[in-house]
Amino acid sequence: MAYTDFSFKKVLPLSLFMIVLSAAIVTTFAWKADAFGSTPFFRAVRLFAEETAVYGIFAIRHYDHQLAAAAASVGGPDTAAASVPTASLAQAIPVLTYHRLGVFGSDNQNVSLQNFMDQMETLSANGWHTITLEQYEAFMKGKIALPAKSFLLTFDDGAQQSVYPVDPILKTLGFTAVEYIIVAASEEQGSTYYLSQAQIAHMLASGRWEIGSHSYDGHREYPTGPNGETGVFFADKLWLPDQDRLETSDEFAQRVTRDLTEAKQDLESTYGVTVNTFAFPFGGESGINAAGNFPQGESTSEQIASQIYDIGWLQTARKDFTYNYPAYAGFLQYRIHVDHDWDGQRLLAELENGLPKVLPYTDSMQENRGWMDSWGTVQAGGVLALSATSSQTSASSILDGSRLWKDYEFDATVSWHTGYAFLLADATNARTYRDCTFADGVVEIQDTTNASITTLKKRFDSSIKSGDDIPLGIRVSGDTISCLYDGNVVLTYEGLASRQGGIGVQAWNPQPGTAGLTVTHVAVSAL
Amino acid sequence: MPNRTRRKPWPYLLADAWPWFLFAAAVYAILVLKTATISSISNEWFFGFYSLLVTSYILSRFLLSYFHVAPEADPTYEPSISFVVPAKNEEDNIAETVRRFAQVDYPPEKIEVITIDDGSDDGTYQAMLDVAEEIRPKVGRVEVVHWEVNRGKRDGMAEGVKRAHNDIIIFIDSDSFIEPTAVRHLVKYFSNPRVGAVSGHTDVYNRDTNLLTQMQAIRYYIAFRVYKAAESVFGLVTCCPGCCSAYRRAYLVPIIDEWLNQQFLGGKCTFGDDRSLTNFTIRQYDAVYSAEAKAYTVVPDSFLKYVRQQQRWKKSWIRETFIAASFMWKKNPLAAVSFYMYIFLAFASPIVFMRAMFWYPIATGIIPVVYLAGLFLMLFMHGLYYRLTVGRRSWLLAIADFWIVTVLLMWQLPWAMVTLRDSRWGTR
Repeated sequence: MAYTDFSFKKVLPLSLFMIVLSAAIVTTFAWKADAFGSTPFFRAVRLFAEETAVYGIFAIRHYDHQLAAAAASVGGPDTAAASVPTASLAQAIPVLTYHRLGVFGSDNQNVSLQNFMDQMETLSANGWHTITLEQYEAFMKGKIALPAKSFLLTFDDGAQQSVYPVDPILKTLGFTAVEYIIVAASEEQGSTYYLSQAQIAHMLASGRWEIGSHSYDGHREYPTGPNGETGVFFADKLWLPDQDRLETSDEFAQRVTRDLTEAKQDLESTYGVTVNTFAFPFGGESGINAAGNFPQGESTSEQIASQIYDIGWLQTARKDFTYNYPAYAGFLQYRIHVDHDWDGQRLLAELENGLPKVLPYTDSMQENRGWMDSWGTVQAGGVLALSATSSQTSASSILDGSRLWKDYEFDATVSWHTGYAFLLADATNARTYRDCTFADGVVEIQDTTNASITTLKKRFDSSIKSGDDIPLGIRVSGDTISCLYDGNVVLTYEGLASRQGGIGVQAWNPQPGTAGLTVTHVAVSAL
Repeated sequence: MPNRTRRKPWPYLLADAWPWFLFAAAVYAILVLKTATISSISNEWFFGFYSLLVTSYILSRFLLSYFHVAPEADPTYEPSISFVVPAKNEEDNIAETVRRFAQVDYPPEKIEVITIDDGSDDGTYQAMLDVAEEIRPKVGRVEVVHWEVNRGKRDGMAEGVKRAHNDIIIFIDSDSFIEPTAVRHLVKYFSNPRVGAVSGHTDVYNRDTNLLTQMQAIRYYIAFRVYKAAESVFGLVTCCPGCCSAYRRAYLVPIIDEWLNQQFLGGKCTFGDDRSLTNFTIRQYDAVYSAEAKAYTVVPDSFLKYVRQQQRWKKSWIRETFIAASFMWKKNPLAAVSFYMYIFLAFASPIVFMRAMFWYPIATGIIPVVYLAGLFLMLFMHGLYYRLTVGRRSWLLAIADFWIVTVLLMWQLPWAMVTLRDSRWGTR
């Protein structure tokens, strides 16, 4: 190599460049190993790019919103504040469930990034803020007070796409969230879908995330028969192919206990955190959706889980009261599953409708303030219209946010032409309530507990008629319940145990598909 | 205000530093990309091997060229020189090309000019005679050769060698121009008796005509400053191009007839004369590159002309590479490895491209982001090198164009392989 110059002035700068370059490369891979673990490199690059892009996009968007809000506040007082009066301290907490974000649009299962940004921005701009799981638990135990408009944000499954596009938004808004981890999936090496252990540790270190258990390995299909039948890990007896039989009830209980215990221990020892909560895989509004070879499966799992964890989440809310109330929460607690097509205003409405309402309450039904479609077809907006579906004999709607009311008179202007119109009071859920029932020539007082109806009192009165715009009322006060027709008390029953409970309306007619009523005005006043 | 203007204010320093920073970032990104894909070699050894090889080849070219340097000039070494210009139908350019020989920075009595009119149909011969008269008082000797019938460039070059009297022969294409300082920078290398040929640095004269010529300007610049310099480190420049190269006459005379009558695949070789002559030279002697010897050449300004030129070059590349492959293994091991590595890469690249852009996406439904990113980063790095060594000049668009041309021309090599014996495009 005769035509070269290896002098000091050539070698030194290159050596320095090489040293810096090598250091940069080594640092890059060390950082990747630390923050992403076994996640494939290019997946990590993509997630990092997504995270960075979302951070930039959302920061600009948030800044824009703040400018717009500042400009609007100069113009005068906020006119939107004329909504339903609610308490200034939280009395109950809503919990949101997401799975992962569709970064490039919604996929009918998951909320799109666009919608999620809109949702969080809207909630934040309207005074909503997240709380930590620790705060939630303390609040539910009555240990701390929280401001109204507090909510808990949760993500199920531990997917990468539930953290990288989300975290920058949390960071900008000062929000926190809880991730429910499927332990076996997080231990899988090189996954492009699930968070690796390193990613989970990294996200916990940010201080914006907490974790909970989503089972050790109960989030996939398991065989329940010899011919490819499948069932649910926490509800069905599983097939034991070696012994050519289904497992016994004891084996079921042992299996569930082992999974739930291992999940908790594994998460706690790996990440050095306390894991007190469990999100049921496939946990729908009525409990776990079972394939059904073991009727006691669900309750057995619930019972076992309640001995290992403090809270067992279902992934959707009930169709009565969507929030979790400290005084009434059991082991199973509910979450609002955010639909893929909800924008920010829609989610805000869902949350604000559930805020505990303060008496007196009037509702001209111009917009839906929380009339839930407990069953049947319920349409709200303009009027509240209930109709039974073609196979059903009744339709029912509970007013969300009325759970804590006690001793009140509920008046409604009701139109119905066939069957029975019910006004519900003291409702603790959609299946447990007291009611006044009106039909042509008859009024009844009933006490319904878990859908089991007891008629307390009944009176025939030819002046009671169905028709248009009939003023009906129900009054619950102390141990007395009274029914009002056209402003007059038409029936009274004494001897009830007084309790907190909300209101609702219901239509019933023995012939399927015919029950229905509409409500145009509601007024509830404390007694 | 003493020395106020000498030091640049820092914003300007920063403005100058950004291409360096980006260049370093591109090298970093390429190395990260390759390190990250290294694990996939085990399941796809051919493509993984290609990927590693192409990266190490390109980066090593930059590294070698960085260490390449001109020898110390000996002011007492001043051999006599002969300019040889074979030309056909170049009445527009020939006068300017020849006129510049009389303006070079060299003792006039040591300059000889030989122009060969290779059967031109236009006024080339008359132009040669006119310019010969014009420069005769300013140089040692001028000779104009006139052939009624066209014989080809190779015959013209050989004729020049045979008629020349001086120590060093400098071939200049009739569409190329040299800078006055170029001669001394070409000649100084010959003080080393091992040196048989020296390639000058040729830039594109019509750079600003269109995007295609801008793109070629980058290709020329990088081909000389990086790739030729890297070959020159070992004294094994494989092509001292016809546009501006110097040869030691004493070493040419014994081989000139063999070269003139070179046969390949049963036919006489009629193109790639420069590469061929260099190939004859480097069997025994060194061929080096002089970055300081500057010349300019006119490049094709339409895509069709460009493709034809490239096709001609590709064919001669194949021929001369096969020939060189028979003796390169005896040379410096590093040079030999680089040489054979490049042959493999040139033939493998269309296969790799097909697989990455068509077969793999169709089979898996995955867009080849990594491949495209790698390709882009490599081109980006070349463009940045151009930008940071030549200064402020349009390069970004030209690099984009470079990409398209690279992809299109990748197919020329297999096509040249197939049509190797068809020499119809070989005419100048």
